[in-house]
Amino acid sequence: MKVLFSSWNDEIIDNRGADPASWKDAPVLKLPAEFDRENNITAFMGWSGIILLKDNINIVDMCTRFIEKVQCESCGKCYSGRIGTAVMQKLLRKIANGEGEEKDLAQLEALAENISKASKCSIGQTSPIPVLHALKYFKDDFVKAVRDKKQVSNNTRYESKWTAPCYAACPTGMDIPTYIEFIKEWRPLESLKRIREASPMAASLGRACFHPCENNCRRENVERAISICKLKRFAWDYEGLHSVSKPVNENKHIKEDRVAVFGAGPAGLSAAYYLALRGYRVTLFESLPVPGGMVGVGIPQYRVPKEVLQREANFISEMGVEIKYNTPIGKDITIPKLREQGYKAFFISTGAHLSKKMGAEGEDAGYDGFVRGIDYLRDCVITKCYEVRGKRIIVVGGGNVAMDCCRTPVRNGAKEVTIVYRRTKKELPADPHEVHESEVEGVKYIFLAAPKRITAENGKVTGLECLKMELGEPDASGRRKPVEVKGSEFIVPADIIIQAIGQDCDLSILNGVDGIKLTKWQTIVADPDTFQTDVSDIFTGGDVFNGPLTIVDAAGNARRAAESIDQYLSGSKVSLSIDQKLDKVIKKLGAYNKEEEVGKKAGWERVPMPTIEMDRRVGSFDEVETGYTLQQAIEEASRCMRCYQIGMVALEKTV
Amino acid sequence: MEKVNLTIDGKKIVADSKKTVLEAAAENGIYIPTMCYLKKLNPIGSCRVCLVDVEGADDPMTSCQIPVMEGMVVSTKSDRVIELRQLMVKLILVNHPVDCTVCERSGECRLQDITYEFGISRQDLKAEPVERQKRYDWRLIRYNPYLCVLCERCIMVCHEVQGVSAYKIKNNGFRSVIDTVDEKPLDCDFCGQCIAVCPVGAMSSGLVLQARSWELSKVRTVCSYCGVGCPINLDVKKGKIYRVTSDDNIGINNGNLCAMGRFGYQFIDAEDRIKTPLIRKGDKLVPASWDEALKLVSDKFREIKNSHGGEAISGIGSERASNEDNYLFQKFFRTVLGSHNIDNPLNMENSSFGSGLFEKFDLPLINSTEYINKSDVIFTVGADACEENPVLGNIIRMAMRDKEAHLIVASSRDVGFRPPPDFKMVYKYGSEILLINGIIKSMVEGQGTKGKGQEIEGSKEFFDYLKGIKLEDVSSRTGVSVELIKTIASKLNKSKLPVILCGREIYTHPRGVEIVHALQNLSNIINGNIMLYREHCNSQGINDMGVVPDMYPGYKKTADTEAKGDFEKLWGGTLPVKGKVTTTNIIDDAIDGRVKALYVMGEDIINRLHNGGHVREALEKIDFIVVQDMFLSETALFADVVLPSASFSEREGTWTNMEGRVQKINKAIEPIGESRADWEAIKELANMMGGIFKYRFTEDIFKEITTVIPAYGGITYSSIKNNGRVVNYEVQSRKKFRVVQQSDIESIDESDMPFILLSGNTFFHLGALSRRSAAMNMLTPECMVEINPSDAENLKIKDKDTVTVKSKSGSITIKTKVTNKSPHGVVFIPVNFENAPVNTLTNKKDAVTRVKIYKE
Repeated sequence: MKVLFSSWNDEIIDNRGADPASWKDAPVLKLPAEFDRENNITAFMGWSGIILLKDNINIVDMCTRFIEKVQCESCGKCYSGRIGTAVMQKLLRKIANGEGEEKDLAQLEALAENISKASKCSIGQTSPIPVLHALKYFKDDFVKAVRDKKQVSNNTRYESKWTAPCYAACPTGMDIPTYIEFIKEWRPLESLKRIREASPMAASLGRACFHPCENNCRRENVERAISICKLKRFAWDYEGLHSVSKPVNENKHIKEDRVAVFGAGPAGLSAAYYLALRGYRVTLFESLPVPGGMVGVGIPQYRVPKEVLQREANFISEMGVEIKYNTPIGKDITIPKLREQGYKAFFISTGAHLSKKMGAEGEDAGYDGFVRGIDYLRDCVITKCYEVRGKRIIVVGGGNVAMDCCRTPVRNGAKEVTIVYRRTKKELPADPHEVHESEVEGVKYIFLAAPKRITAENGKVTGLECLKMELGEPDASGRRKPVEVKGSEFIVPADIIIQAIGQDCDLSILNGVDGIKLTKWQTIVADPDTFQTDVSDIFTGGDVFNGPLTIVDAAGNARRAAESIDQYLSGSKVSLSIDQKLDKVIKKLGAYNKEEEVGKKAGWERVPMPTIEMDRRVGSFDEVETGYTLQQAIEEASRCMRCYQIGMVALEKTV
Repeated sequence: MEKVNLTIDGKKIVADSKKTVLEAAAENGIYIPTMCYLKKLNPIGSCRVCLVDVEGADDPMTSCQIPVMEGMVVSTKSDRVIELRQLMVKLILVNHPVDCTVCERSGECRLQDITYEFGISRQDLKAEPVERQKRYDWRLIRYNPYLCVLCERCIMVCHEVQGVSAYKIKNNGFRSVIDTVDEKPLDCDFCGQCIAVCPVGAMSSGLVLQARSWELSKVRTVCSYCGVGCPINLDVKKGKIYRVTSDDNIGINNGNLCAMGRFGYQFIDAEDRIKTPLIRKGDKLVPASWDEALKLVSDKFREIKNSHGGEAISGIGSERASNEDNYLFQKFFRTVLGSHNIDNPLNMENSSFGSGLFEKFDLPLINSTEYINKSDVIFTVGADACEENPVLGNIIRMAMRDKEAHLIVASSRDVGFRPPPDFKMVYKYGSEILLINGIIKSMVEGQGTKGKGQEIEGSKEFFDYLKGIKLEDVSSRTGVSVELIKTIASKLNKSKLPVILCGREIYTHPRGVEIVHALQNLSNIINGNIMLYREHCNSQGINDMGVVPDMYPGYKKTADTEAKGDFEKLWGGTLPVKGKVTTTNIIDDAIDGRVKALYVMGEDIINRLHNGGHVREALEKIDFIVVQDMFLSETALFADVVLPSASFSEREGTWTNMEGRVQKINKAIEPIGESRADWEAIKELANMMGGIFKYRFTEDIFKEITTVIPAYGGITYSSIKNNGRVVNYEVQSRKKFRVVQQSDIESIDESDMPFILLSGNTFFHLGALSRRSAAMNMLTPECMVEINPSDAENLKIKDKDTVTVKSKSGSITIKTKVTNKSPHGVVFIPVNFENAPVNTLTNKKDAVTRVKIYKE
């Protein structure tokens, strides 16, 4: 992108004085130019430097306003952050008011250097950075302010917000550093309270989250990321083990409006929870007999035990949500009928429970021994596990569903379990941790192979004919596209083939509803910020909106959708707040820099998660991970560097 | 533990891998300055003063937080860290009023010290001043935010050690201050730990110091309240005690104190201390000289001894008096008066937990709290550790924090714990034995013949007995679910180092002995250690000293002629064979007219013993009563002679705490008025009556104690240092199963008296002295009856209503406290309140006291 000036991540691009047409490009910067419909962004100041898009910014004013914001946000938990930035604020205000002296500049610079070195959390460590950049690259502006003895211009509108790399990466917008700090301070229940502000699903997320936060953890730049995900589980487990009084919903049913939520998966449960907390009367319709949606029927019990999920759902019921199981929508009950019954808003989160076809010959022939992965996992939970004892299993696919499909038969006594995947190990979309565990449990992998035909005798599967593949050019997803090797057919013998290459959505819920658009992948179209569909009382989120994605994305959609539904029902405009808009800007810009060199001593390794012995895994669905003990959790939480940081945009009305 | 090698300031050291750099440095004599760090708390990291440089890291790091790592190279003295530390201290000083001249903490202020240490003499940093609110509305704790450095020690000690979690940081940035979590005036344990750990003058005592720290001299002694026995310091200036302090890393309490220990010292110089002896003239007690008073007592005692025999003179010793006082008290009775008719309130209530402690039970019950520190499962039975013995609560909490000990709380009231216990059983009062048997049953069920406990004496009979127990039946009669019983049994069964703590509810229980026997059965299986709470500072010592009718010091039976011979040799003279008095209860004897004279040392028996009305009646029947006390108690009002007693701060001696730990009390100030240490009065009286008591100091008495009582052998005053000396009771631990059957407590007509009455201690009062301390009365001025909300609703009673509580022994008028802590059908009234004496309602003869409650 083109910028007037940038010191972001210490890469200096300085186009001041140059003709805009000849401005040098800043290739890695991703600052959006639009804040919302009414406002454009003209500059950004934050933890890693300064970005100016236009030349109408007074840098002295911007620094002053920034440090004022830092003072408001600084947590008061360290001397340098709390008092040091107050001293900086006084100096900056003095200079901006035209009362500064040249020696103030030197003092400001020295102070900024030292605060940056000594502070406890990143607010104190990073906030002086843009001021130091300003003092270095805009020295003349400061000297002028001191010499002119006049108040600098201060007409620019600034908006600012705290963020953190982990926070910005979390689709639910969870205040991760604080919940970790609470664990460190031996306050697990307060930690859980903070977690629940962003998601009521601490048990599921703490066990099976894809944890994008950990991929954006600055501690990874030192040695290994904090075990953010599993600390969440610790807090939830602690409540179950120790607490005598669970939180109560003080707003339970204070409002008359009824809201219907469809699907008791992570999105539906979360939306219902936040709507209940806002006082709405929520009915949650679920077609299956168990809660959790794909977490309940797609993730096996050794990862998320059924009773854990049930307790999580019970907690949400206790908040005032009525959950109706075994109640599919679209036939006897439809959205129009519910409207007639007085429901005022609808949240569709029915997920993606239909198995995609793999395009191999014979998959529709109804062979005994061929099963679709999602059906396989679901049946294991709600009816009965497919008999696999002593049999050879092939699982086709490389995602997390495939992982679950291969680790389940291990537990049911299968003789041999093999994954067939068309790319290489490097491209496996599954969580590497899951891949590792599957290998530990003895699952074999055949890479660069695509299913071509199911071989069968007397209607029973005997094997899978595969084609060898090789990697070609990158496709739209950025991964190298597998290309068939002609004539390379080979047969992998098998008794059972489980196909786990993806899911589609069942949209029968929309029967009787007009005006909802669908994407070409047969997902529901809605505003990506507010999750409102084109039919104003219908909102959506989760896999039915995203396509098959993660639990945490679904939970994040739902948290925001509940807010939108509240806005809609209370008659206000369904839109993002300033803070949410800032979060979007920061997300786009990137709150985490993988290349950053964090000046900490490496070697404080992550506390390993205790797991059960191998002999308890085979033939049993006991939860594999046993969870951190208190001391382990405190130690792990102590590794957190509290990477809070503050970003501020300068805004200008669009013409 | 794994070791790592590292270098600090060029010095190669080896440290445990779990240590922080700061700890490793300290162990090796390398000094790193700190401000927020406190050994007993998890590292906080707010002050940034302990920053060090670590090779391979760009930024300096706080040494209190980073663990040592193999090959680490640390510099604690680089130019950069010295500069940064200086900056940190300068920042604290920004807008910190340099009011040292009027600040209470001056002279012991960490900020003063560190400013001086760093040589900071100039301040060039400024910030805009912020208006802050001083909180002087927090009763015993005052908070001055202008002095506060936000080190968070108060927040952390309150949370981690005390479990109250009363404080938080309010506001952000420079506007940050400490406030209560709900931002209302502080309502907490008032332990004052926040004051103790505050490095500056921000947190200070509501009992304003009015002395400069350097004027105060510290006298190490022991807290005079409960049986935990925390070492404390009395800070003295010119014969006056200005405050109580404590030191971390010393004694059972590691510097922790409860409200009474820290603030409950004002009884020492209370206005109404008795300052001279008093003699009854008609219906008045008038001042007299010691000579006059003692002469009167000795004449009277001699007269009664001559006319009725020594046995007609009875004595009651004090659980608060020292070993020396009590030893001399019984020696005076036995050798001079020729009477074994002495006793103490604990023994009078239930002798099995007094004189019978070492013969009634198979396993030792007096055990070190070290067992708690090391335990992985702590099982409290009938104990309210948070309220009754707050420092024991601290010890348990530390085991929960550091050893991940699991806590199981069982009580007939919903006493709970902070943080919440892992498991909690609220059982029906009287069903304890069944519950314990149920737990054992659940443990051994299906374990087969090779299971736990098979080799122990009596196992066959016991296990056979258990076969008849049905958990469903246990559950329905105890009110505890089968599932919970099973869970707890399994938790205890898996424990490696379990500890069982028996609280006051057990040793005051009509079935207390059997309950402990049942717990011993449990302990045999899980290999646990049982500990018994002791209510007062010398409840254990007084029994060791033989202030009981049937035993000499060291639990030698008076009925044993060999023992008699031994003591005659030790003491000289002839000892009484056995008192004529037949029953062991002095009060009943008095009612029957067998007690002609009574000598009460330091106990207000009217308010202490069961059935206060009965005690009054007894006192009225006694011809001559001597009361030796600090205050004119209700009992003292019955006296013919009152002798003024010196407080614990005015004398020397030893106490033996609940662990059997002998600790030294030391004289801090001169006795108030003409008061004297109890032993001095006894000695003089004895000598006036022909005894030869040649003790010059308490140490002389203690030396005699150590020769007379083998368990105390080898202990000397000089060897009792900070952590005391533990008595070697030489109790044989005999593992043995006893079949303990649940026998229901017979109940009187329930329709008339629907509530079970329980009593016990509460936060701010214990014994008679806290009621004489203004600070404690400010916190809890009056006694309230605790009642369940559903019961209150049925009776149409609201919180703080005035009601009458009536038992068949008596009735009292009292305010209500509606709380879930009392289960349905149970009411609780705290002891210690002379204006609502719950003991007028109780009766030793009744197994359980039932009451009715009504509004006038």
